[in-house]
Amino acid sequence: MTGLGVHLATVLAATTPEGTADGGIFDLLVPLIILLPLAGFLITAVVGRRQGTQAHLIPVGAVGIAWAIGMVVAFSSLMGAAPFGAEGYGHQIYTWIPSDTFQVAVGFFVDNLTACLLIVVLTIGLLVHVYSIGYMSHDPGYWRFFAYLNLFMVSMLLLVLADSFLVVFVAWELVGLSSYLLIGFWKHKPSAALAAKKAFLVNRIGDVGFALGIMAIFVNTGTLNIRDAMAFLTAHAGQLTIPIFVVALLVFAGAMGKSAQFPLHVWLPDAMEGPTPVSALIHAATMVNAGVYLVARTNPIFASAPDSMVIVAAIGIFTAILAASIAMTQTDIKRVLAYSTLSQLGYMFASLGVGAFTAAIFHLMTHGFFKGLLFLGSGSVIHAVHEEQDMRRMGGLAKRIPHTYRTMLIGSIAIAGIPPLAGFFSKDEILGEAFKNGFQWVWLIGILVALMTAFYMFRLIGLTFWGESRVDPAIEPHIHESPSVMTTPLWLLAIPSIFLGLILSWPGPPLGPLFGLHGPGLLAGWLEPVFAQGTQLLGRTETDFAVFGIDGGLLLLSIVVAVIGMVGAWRLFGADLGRISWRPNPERVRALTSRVPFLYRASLNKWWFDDLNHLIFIVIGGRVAAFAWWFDRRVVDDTVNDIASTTVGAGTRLRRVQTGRVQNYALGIAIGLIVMAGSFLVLAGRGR
Amino acid sequence: MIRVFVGTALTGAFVVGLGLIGLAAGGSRSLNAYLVLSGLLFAIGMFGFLARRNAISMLMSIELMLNAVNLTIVAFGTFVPKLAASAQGSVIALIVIGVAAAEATVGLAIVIAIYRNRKTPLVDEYDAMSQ
Repeated sequence: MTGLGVHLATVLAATTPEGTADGGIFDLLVPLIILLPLAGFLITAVVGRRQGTQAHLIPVGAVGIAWAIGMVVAFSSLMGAAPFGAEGYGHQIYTWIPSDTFQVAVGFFVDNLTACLLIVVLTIGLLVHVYSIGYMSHDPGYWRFFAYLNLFMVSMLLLVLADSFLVVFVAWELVGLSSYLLIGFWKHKPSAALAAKKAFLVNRIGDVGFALGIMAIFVNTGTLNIRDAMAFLTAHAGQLTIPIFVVALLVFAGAMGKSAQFPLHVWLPDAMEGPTPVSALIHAATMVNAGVYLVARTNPIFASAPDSMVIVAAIGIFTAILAASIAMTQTDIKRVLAYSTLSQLGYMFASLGVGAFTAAIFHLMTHGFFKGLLFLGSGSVIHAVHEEQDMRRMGGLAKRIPHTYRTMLIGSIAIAGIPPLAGFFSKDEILGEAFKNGFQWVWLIGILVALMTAFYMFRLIGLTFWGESRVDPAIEPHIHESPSVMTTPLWLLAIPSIFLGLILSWPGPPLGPLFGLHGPGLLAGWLEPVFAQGTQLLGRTETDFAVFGIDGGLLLLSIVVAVIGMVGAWRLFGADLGRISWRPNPERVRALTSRVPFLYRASLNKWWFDDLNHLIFIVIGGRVAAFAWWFDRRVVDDTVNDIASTTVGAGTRLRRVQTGRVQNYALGIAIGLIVMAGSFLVLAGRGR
Repeated sequence: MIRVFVGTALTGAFVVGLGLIGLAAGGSRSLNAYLVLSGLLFAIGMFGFLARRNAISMLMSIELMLNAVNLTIVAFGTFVPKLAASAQGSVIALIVIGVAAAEATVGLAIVIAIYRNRKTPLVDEYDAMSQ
């Protein structure tokens, strides 16, 4: 902490003018984005029960207005309008904890990264709200659901808008709380209650890391303001109290918990116990992105400790292949999508780890839309076949629920990486960057994951929509397409799933000049100032996209791989796309799986991670706890109890000395007197 | 009643006998005689205090002990030349008498108060503290 005050003073002096700039109307608009859903939550929590089937009006309205304001703010930032500029605009609202050197101010900060997150969170959030009107219409907890959804929106928006680590942490925990409430929404179901508990506990493990990371940042820098702390950390990376490598890993631990990276990935598949809109909103499109956002936001910390980035990349790509391998054999439609989410999040972290921050945010945005679409679509399928989630009891649904089928097909093509849909661009950018930044192993595993992604997505489509119907004959006649309040959000999400990749990576006119950019692509231009520090620390230089060089080759390869995966799935699980009409081939599937029995069993049992956790924490942990309980009872408690009972016994016996009779005491006095006088005489006599 | 007479007579004989021992030890001009008498008085007072159950008797025994000490002080005041010149012994004895009077007053007041409460002068029944 030597000379900390001086450093801090210079850092603060450098940032103060920016902080006090006049934000005009935005000082009001940005807090409103958070306050509107907060008001919606509070009002619904109080009066929602009485509103009955109209309970959605206030929450959806609040999010709708927040969406409009958020879009104004986001696009003002992206266009570099007045208060934002290229660096972003922050405003401190009040000092939360004014305590000597520990000052925490509550404020917001909006730059282009925040703007990108605002677009994803608000748009998908709004569409999920609308979709829920249809999906939850028969649920007795209708109003409760919307209250929770609004609480989640508050937390998530606070998380991306806050400018202080402590406020981010508060939002981080609020997000965890609303996730807990929503996973366990059907609390009468033991599996849902258990899954909620599991998600909460696993997240806490990561949160401990994040909390320690925040403390480490404060010890190092003396400030919790994100920008000030970043500036200080990177300027003094060599002479910190706590090494920056440790800080980076602690922050990453928090990100791992929230974004469900190995080994904290076990909660996400179980979180599918929640209602499907929740899975779409929280566990696919927004909350799980919080970890990616955090790492991207603190990119200078990671860039200052390149070793930590290798760890990030390794964990990311390992999660990607692990989850993809599990997704290939799951039969629960939502679980396939959950593992797919894990896998794609792994891609994002791998991308962050190799230093391709922009590519990670690119994939975050495209993935948010097409995964939100896929989840909402799966909800529509589940709705159609009367709450059946097992794909073995679906099949041939394409004709019965055409809107759901078409939108989910679009989403699957997008995630599989077939051009020109969104997923292709972002995934290819991640893989290309990994290869060019010298992480060939990440690229190699990533290509493999891309193959598996295309395969399991078309396995899902094949099992669900194509081939013969295996639906329960009792339900068969009642299969129906969802109401338009549910299919409209699907189509609205399908549009960005098709075009977003192309738009965000489009290099030239007409979009570039609109935002004052002439760079390599729209998103790269937007995020260039945000990641300038990190990129500079890593010493990366921008290279032009070589269509006929390495970039073109990698691009072609990833298309080929995606097509191989897709066609492979068609051959095994059937296809029904106009001229391509193949029958599913269950015998071949059985033959293939029996050739690699170990891999098949591992994938089916999720690589036994739940069993491993059960062994470590329930069996072994239970033994340790039982021993600790025995030790506490037999040794600690008994010591205390024995001391107490000895004291009581001694007291019982000694109290007989106190007879309460005056003469006994007087006798004591007399004997004492005689002893004293006698010993005086003896001593005085000897002294003479 | 006869026991009282016998007791009184025995005590009287005892005191007279001891007085004779004192005279034999040196008569009225000897310090030792006073000290022996004083010691005897103190011993009697202590015995009375320990042996009697009646609170009034115990107070009387205390008075006896105080007076024994007073006698010692006066005797030293007379026989030690340095003290005799300034009459310090007598002054201290007067103070002790005053204090003893005050002590007796307070003691009696307490005894009467307890007596009104417990309806007994016997101290071994004042055992509320031991229960």
